[in-house]
Amino acid sequence: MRKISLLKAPEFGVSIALVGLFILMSFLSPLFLSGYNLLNILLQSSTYIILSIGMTFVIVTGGIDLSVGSIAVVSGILMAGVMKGGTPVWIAIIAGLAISTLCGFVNGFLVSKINLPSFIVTLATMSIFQGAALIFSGGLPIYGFPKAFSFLGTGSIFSIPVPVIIAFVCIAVSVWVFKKTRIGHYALAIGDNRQAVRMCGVNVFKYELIVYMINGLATGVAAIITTARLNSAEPLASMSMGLDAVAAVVMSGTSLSGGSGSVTGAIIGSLLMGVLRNGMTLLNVQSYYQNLIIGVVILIAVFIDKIRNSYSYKK
Amino acid sequence: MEQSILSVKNICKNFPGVRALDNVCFDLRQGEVHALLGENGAGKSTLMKIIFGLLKKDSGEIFLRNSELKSISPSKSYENGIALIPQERTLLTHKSIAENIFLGMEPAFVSKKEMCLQSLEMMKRFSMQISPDTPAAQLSAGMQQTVEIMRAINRKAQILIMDEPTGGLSAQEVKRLFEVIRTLKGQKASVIYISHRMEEIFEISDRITVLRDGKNAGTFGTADVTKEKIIELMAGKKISAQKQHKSSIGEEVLQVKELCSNKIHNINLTLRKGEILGIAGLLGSGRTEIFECIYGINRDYKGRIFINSKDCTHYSISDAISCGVGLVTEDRKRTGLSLKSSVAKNITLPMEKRIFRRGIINTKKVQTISSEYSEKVGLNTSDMSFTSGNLSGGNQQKVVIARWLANGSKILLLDEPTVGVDVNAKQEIHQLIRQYCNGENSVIVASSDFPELLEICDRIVVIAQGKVVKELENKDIDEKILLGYATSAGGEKI
Ligand SMILES: Nc1ncnc2c1ncn2[C@@H]1O[C@H](COP(=O)(O)OP(=O)(O)OP(=O)(O)O)[C@@H](O)[C@H]1O
Ligand SMILES: [Mg+2]
Repeated sequence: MRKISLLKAPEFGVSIALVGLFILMSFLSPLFLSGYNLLNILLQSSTYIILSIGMTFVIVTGGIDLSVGSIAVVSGILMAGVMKGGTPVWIAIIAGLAISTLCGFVNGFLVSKINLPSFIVTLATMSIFQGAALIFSGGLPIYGFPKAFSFLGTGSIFSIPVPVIIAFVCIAVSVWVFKKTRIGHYALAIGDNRQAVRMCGVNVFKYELIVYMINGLATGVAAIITTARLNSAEPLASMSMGLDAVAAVVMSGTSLSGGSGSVTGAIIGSLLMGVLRNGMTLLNVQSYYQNLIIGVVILIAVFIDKIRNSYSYKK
Repeated sequence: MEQSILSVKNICKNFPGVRALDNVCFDLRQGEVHALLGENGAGKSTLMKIIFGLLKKDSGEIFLRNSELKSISPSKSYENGIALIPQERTLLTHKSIAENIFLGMEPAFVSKKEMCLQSLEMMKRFSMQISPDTPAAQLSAGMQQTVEIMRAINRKAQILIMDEPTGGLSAQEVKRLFEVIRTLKGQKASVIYISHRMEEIFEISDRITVLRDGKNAGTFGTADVTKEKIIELMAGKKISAQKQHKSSIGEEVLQVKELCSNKIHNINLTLRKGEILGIAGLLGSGRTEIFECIYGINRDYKGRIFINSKDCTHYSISDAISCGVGLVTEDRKRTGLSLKSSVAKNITLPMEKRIFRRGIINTKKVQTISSEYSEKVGLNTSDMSFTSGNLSGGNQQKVVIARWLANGSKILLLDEPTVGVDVNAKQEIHQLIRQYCNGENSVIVASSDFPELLEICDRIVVIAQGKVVKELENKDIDEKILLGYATSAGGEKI
């Protein structure tokens, strides 16, 4: 019984891939299993984990958010600008989180109220937010922040890096929100059958809006970490940021059409990417090959998931 | 005539935790209509999907014209002259009727115009008087089903499998379908016909096979068997006769006054406490529209709606629900169930206030509420985490009904509540409706299944072309009278 339910879990495929990769890496590189390196993996994965968590909420409703890279940039630039103006760090952080949540709100509003396809909306806002960041910053990076801020990216508490701690807090909160609160409950239901949920008197608009705002907020948190670590806010967005988050989510068997998926799956997916990147660096794989290999691993994880599906169907 | 064209031997099929088919045998002769009967979840659709190649069998053999079919897929089935009308609708809603009819067999060198012309020809046989360019989304449930049927017939198959083709069809449409089936029979084609409507089975079929719990329960010539015998075989036991609905009828709880929208004109209705009101109307007569206005799906109407003497005009869906109204829609797949979600989640979907405390879900409550009510409606699984989409059609319907019973709605609007529900479950649902209206609650049932209305309703309002044509106490009236009124207002003639 236990075995079956383990196999039934949608996270099965990506977990197997993660464990397999882990074992493989510990054979290939003596440095891999060291405590320092493992912490390093967590540190490198922390932003991806946070981004993929936010993305999960959007994807289970059947949506997608391509604009997270631009949201991160807007939020980073604003925080940096505010701090440069001499405002206290905590106000800057709140401003950064507020603007990213607002960006999420804009996406959510356009998708839910105006009823436009999320792919198109976020493709457009990706460009809009990016433009806004460039205008605000004049196209130049803003760098040099107070110590308290840099601490969030580079500091550590009891030798655990602060970004890792932030990621863990995000994990705990989001798993809870996803499993226990009505937000997670209805996000899944909306992705499953929007019309049926509407017919049950549920405010679909509200939940869709919330979901995009959560994604915006998560992006804002990730932006804090990256800005603090680099000690600089770049006005140019990385296009692949959103796509990486999407990849981490779909690897765990979450369907892009919505209605299924979990935060845990997305976290395992991001860890898989983290281990992969770290491993390839340890093994001195050329960066050109790295992209290629990542793509292949995504396909393998999705493929394992498909096999799992047909297997649990048979018996 | 006697030659067997398709024969299925010892088919077994397991789903996780369910033995759907257990050594099932079935054979189909050339030129016959072979009815397949069984309760909800008996395995009828599963068997058909295996024959057509949508599902793989675990074991067993399938012979077509005496040669074994080794690997089966839908595309091969079409080549072999087998077509399936699935129980679930599969139309592409953005595509036109013509495109849907020709889906998968679009001729390479024939123009769209030609396709439309051929579709028009086909539509004539079903008396569908609209343009073949109409997108499927704009069609009523019954019309969509008809398009589904036309698509399969257009394949010119020798074996046509119809899995509950008449779900949501009106008497006229059924009649036309039967005419088409008879023509096909004349052309030596064979039909496997699945339905829960006994009258249809006895009218159209030559032989009957009954399945019970995934096993064969017998095959008979239709002429050699009675309806009672079949029902008994399906259930594996004798079914007691139903009781008449008697309850005290109280004050008015719902008033609809001069309701007008683009499909209905000047509708006046009243519903009393403890009453079961029937709305008899053919497809497209405006039944669904009335419900949509009361329930707040459509808020673009004129007129007034009062619930418990409170003016509830232009209320939203959630307002209507908090006034105690519940709606079981006519299309459970599209607007009723979240198919990937569990039974428990579906039953508790509208209970935002009850299952969440300060936004946090109370899993235990979800469990107890859903178990209690799925037992009440006689769902065939007690596993509340079962994926709703994997339930058989009739059991899905029970889940939707359980939802509103559990929600404690005072006024229930049921739009074709027993489409696709087996005879016994139908009795059970009727019984449920009667129990529910024990003086406290009220129900409006809209249906094109007139015998159903006659069986459960206290009062019946007949509507045609968006107008109320007659209001009748359910005394000394019969199907013919209802049909007479339903077709009177210049509507469709039989
Ligand atoms: N994909 C699936 N996964 C698990 N169980 C399934 C699946 N499909 C069908 N079943 C189960 O198999 C059994 C047979 O289902 P099937 O749909 O064949 O019934 P049916 O006779 O067509 O019923 P109905 O009259 O309600 O359409 C049911 O118990 C159903 O719950
Ligand atoms: Mg079926």
